[in-house]
Amino acid sequence: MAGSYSHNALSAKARAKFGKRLTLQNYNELLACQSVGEAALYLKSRTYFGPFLSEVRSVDVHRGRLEELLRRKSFEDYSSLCVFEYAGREFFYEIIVIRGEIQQILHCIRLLNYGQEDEYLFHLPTFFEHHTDISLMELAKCKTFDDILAVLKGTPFGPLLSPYAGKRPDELDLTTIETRLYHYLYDRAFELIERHTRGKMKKELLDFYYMTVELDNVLRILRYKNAFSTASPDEIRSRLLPYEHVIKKEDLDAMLHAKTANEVFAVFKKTKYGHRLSQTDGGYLEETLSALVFREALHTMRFSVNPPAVFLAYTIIAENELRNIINIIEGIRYQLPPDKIRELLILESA
Amino acid sequence: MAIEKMLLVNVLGKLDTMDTAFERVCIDEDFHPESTLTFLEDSKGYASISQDNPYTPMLQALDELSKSHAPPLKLTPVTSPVKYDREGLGQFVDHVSDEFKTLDRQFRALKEDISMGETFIAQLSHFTGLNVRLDEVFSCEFIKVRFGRIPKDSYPKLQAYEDNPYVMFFPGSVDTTHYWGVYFCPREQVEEVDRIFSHLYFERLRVPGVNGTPEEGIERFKKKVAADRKRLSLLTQKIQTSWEKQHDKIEKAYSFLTYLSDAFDLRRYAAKHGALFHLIGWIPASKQEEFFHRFDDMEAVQVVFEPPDDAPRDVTPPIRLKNKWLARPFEMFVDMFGLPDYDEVDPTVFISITYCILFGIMFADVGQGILLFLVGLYMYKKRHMSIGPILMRTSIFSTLFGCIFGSVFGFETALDSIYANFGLSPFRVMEPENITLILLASIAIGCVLNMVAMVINIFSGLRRKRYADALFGPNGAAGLVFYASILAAGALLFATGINLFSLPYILLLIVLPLLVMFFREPLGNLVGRKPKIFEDSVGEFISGNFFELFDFLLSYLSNTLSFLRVGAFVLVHAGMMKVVFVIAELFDPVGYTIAVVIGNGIVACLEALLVAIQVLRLEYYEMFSRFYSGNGKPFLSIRSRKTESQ
Repeated sequence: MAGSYSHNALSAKARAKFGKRLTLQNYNELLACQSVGEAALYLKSRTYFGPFLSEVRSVDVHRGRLEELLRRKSFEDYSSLCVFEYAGREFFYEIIVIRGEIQQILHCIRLLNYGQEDEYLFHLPTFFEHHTDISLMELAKCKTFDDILAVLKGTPFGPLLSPYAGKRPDELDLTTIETRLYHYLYDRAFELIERHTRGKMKKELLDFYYMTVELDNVLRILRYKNAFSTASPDEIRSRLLPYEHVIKKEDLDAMLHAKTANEVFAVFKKTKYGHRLSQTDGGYLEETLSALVFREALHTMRFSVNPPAVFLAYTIIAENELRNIINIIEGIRYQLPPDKIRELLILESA
Repeated sequence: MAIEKMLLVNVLGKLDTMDTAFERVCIDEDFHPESTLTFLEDSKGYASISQDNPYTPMLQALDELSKSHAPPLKLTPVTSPVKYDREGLGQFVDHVSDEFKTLDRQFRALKEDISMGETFIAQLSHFTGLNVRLDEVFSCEFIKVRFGRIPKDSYPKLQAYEDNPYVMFFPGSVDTTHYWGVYFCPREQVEEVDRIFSHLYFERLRVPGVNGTPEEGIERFKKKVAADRKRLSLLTQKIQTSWEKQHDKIEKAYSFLTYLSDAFDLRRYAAKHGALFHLIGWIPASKQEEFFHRFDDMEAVQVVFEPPDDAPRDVTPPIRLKNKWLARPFEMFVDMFGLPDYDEVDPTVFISITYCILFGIMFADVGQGILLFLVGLYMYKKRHMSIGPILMRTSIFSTLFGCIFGSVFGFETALDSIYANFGLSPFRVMEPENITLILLASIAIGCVLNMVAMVINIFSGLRRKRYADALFGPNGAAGLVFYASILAAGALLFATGINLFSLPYILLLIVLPLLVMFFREPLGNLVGRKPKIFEDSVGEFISGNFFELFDFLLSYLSNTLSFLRVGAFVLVHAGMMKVVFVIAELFDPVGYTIAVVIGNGIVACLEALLVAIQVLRLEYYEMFSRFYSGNGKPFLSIRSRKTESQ
């Protein structure tokens, strides 16, 4: 139903949370912090993260713990907003949980692939255990890919990953696994949009998701051209998410056949998304593409009348803020100069 | 209705007298500077004078002191050339700043010590009852001991180390986020075990100098914290005494420094030409003589006054409103909308009268009016809020209209006995026959106010030589004739049955003004003797103006009907109070009184807010839109510019 979750309270709540976001001044002051502890105390005392960082008592806070607390706050924010869905936790909550599950599975497989499977225990978000049917503690005990498959048995991810059964960790093709999992996520998202929305609302949501998917594909091509210049167009294509919306087939082909990342970007600039690039876009290509989605989200947040679109925009903006903070914290931890860290941030004025 | 007359003033002189001249300019803060370089039509040979303000660091130092100490520093206005020991100024500021910085440093260090002590006490309290000496535990030969806390999130992860005999955590207590406890491990395993716990975000408890049991440590820190608190109290007293002792002297230096800094900042607006400086700005015309005499003892400085007409065409004089005390508080509403142009009518008096009357009618209650007056008085006197004086004025009208409607705190019959003494009775708003009358009266008020707004527009347009707008526009003479004719004939027909709508009446007073409004642009061009009568093609003109005319007619209707809200709020007040009494009657006498008091409070707050907003809406949208543009720029001295930008 078109109005099944278009509860206006969702827009109002999302916009109220949006109003509390970090300002440019907050970012500047964070960048001026000399240590992770100082940044943590700043976030605790001067921003809306304060109540979630109550346990930060001194400057000796662990960076990982700080990130975990911030991620937890984000997740709780999203799920608290999902309460305002008219039909209960039907649509967004499911998508958010699936995305979280995929991130955990991929994280676990990556560590297995690197031979650091024991490390997963330290990174698993305990708070997420209450939201997922996958036992993350069991996932932490996995020593082989088949162990992971055993944990995922009975979930939608089991059949998706079963073709890799019996493979040694170093034989796993991480990119194709990632593609398969995200393919499932987007299929599910599109299915839910088709089922629950219509008209302008449907179009707005589809446009948003397709934009995320297509820019993700462009990013994958760029990474391949940068890191594996010998990869054939078909090889890269097989690792892309199979959706076509705004980027035309011939443009995608041109990008796949381009020799360098710069050539890919030149083709991208001619697409409809490319036209939306601002003059200041440049530098890190990954940030440039993320900035596009971020700007679109800001526009939706300010002007959209569709609560689901506003919520989606809020999640993108909040994710971006979280990424910015984590970039700053990591930058401070590794003693990068503030200007260098700033280049990695996606800010409203950029 | 007044806008202060302005004069353009040029201050010229030799560069070596510039500082003194600019100080004189800054007296009384009555100079609105303009950028001299952009102001001059021929600025060839002129250059800007920009330098870093040397007074800024000193001012910042005093500002910081002012923010952290009470009472804060206040600025005393400079009304004549000041005598001050300029040489010693910098030294004095440095001395004061150093003295208080040292004291503040000691204050912060003590606060930090106290806070750390309290943290240690809180941390150690998680380990009371252990009954072991910590120094003995830490000096074990074969095992390492770590006291600390682990997040609740991480605690379940320890299950993964069930098979590892060295990874064991013994929780002693728990708070909202963490388990507090201890882990032991053999010295040879300590690196690995420390790594695991570190990854689980275990935070070690490091308490310096604790040799005995946790209880003994707590006792020691308690004594230290108590001693530190005593020292902090003494230090706070010392800082306060020192601040109070030097306050007047610091305040004087602060005022003088601000004055010097303002004078120095005028350089940004001035220009130099060879060895001469030139500064242009505006002063109120009433200050001309006094301003001129400020430079009597400065032969090398020349002051030239010019009328505003001599300013370049795109530069308009700044606006300073000048109203009597009764209307002055309403300047805030005019300022919110936008100040008038220099040659425009100042609507302050208009808004002060209409706002008070409309507010009074819509919020008519003797008791609540008096209450509102007291609230306004409190806001004005105690909180220095600019809405306070407005509330005081409007509440008087609320009380007056409350008398007419006979309402005191919602008791609609409270004044009956007084009225009876004069053989009268109050106007009862809830009587069925009065409801239509109230609504019709509110429309009538709207019609009158709309017509007054049109008259002001005609007056303002003629004064500003905007004849097309004043004579032919929808808010000009043509619009007024059209609107008044329809209203007069309609009212007469409705009230007495006399029909004025004869053919000549319709043709002369309705159709003709409509045609004039339709052709207002070419007519205006004709009167203004412009070479082109139609600015676009005739076809475009007709199609565009047809829809505009339709829009005008709609706006007459909507603007008039908009005043229905005046009557509606009269009824809302009586209605809401009726509800309060219905609820109150459910209780016993004590409950009744409480319910009436609370109900009155809620209704008064709600209505005061709603009525204030609704009347402002009527002022801005229905009336200001007919005669007022509000494009003026405010008169800003160098000081107020800095305050605005902060």
